[in-house]
Amino acid sequence: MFFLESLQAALALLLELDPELLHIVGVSLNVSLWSTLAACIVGVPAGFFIGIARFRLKQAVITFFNTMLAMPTVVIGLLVYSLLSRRGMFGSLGWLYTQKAMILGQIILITPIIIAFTIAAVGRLDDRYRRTALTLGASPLQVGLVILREARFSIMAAIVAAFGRVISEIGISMMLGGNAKGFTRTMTTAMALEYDKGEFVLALGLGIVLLSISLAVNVLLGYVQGRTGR
Amino acid sequence: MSLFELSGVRVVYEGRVVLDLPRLAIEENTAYSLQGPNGAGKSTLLGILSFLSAPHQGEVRFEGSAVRWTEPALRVLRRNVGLVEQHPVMFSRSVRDNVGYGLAIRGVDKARRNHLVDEALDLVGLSHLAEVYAPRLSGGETQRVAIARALASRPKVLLLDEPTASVDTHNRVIIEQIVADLRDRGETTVVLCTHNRSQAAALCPEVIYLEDGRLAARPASNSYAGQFVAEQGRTWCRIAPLFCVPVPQCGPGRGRVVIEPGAVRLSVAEEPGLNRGALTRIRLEDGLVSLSVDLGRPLHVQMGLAEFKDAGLEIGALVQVEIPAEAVQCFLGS
Repeated sequence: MFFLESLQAALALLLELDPELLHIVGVSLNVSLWSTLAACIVGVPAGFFIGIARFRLKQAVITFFNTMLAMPTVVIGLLVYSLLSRRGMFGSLGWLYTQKAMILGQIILITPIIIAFTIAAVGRLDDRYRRTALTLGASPLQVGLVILREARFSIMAAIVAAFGRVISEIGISMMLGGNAKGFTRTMTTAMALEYDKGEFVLALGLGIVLLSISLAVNVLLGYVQGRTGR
Repeated sequence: MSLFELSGVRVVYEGRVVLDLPRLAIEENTAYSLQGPNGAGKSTLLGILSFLSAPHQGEVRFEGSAVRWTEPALRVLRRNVGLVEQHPVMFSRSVRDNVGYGLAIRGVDKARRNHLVDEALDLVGLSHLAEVYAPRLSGGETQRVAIARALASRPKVLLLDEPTASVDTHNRVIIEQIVADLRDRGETTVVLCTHNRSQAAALCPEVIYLEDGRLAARPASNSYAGQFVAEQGRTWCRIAPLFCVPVPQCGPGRGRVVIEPGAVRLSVAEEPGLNRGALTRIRLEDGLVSLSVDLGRPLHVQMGLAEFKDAGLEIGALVQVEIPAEAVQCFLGS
């Protein structure tokens, strides 16, 4: 009964477009999108080149990034905190407890995900694409573009997974953002706070939004893949 | 000057010599079949001819110039070669974009590109599929589009790696016709890698036969040009005045027939007549008896040792040749 009542109130909050709820969702999306974008800029090319290149320590590099996938968010939070705190190496930037600090921490969290999944996507791709492009006279860059194009849906899936990871993480947001209302409060940190307070209405409303965003992103990916017939 | 000249070429994998060619020349505008058992080095040779992999030793010359196995030099050379793999892969684009890919990366403008793509698709009989999403094509169609893709850029050499090994009869006939047309036009060197000796004999006047990575003697083949004629409700191919074979699956016209040596039956005959001739050679090869019969043209026959002994055959004997229709493959117009 209690859950149903809370759920009803949460839905009402959503339908009324509650300003506080919308602001929290906005902060979450802002931080997550920027960190995903930055991680893509670094991770996709890095994963791509590690995936296609042949070098001596390749397996060790892949193992390193696979290990990084299991890095706990609180460890990253602690690491970035030590760098951004007043006594830290980059304390003078004054980023601690800002969205910039959260974005930085989240970039560190998901870049290995994007790199590892991109390496896997490129490595799994049938070698005939490379050979075919080569025999048709493609330059190394053109061969690379062919591989990138053929692996694009696996890479997109990696990006979606990374976005899902950051929008639902709590450790980094809490440690580096500080859960400041109106500034760094995200959906997950707000839900944790509401839980501590014993208030489930906002927490449930945010939970519904979080799941809806996840669902929407995955539906969009599926739609794009379906539209292009792969 | 040969198109390709290979001298002292060796490829070694894990201590095993997989290709060892003291000398091999491939002439311009000629059709070659590349034959040999599995593991004979055919794919390795195709890799070298397509400039995808360098030999460990030796020299490869293309159009008289020594090949430098550096990426920029290879890119220029690869543009002279079209390779169609046994299981070609289509880029996830339309058939038109696939066929035009080689032209696009050469900077050919769109109007010219479309014209050349249409020509190439017309050649393989798939113009109607130009706008179809290429990965959705059937195996046979994929093979034909891959040939069009390789040909669109007008390569000097077309390398075909078992193009009919995994396609249906309809597509096999079309692909054979494409190869025959290329051979007859004489504008492209064709290297057809195949296990099908009959197909090789019918389509390619020249043979590169590999065994254990080395050039080996060309195996005997029964490939004949002749006139297909319909008589008494059946179609026959007349090869010589007294040499005639049934070709029920081919219509009238000129063509080529290939006879499977192992399917021919021999028996002693009393007097000369149609499909009767003298036994001119008997040899034991790999447990099989290999024979030649003079029917105005030599016919090669293979049989087991027990069957040979039962037939009571000897050199110079007059023999009756029985050629079942299923032992004959015919290729119209080639």
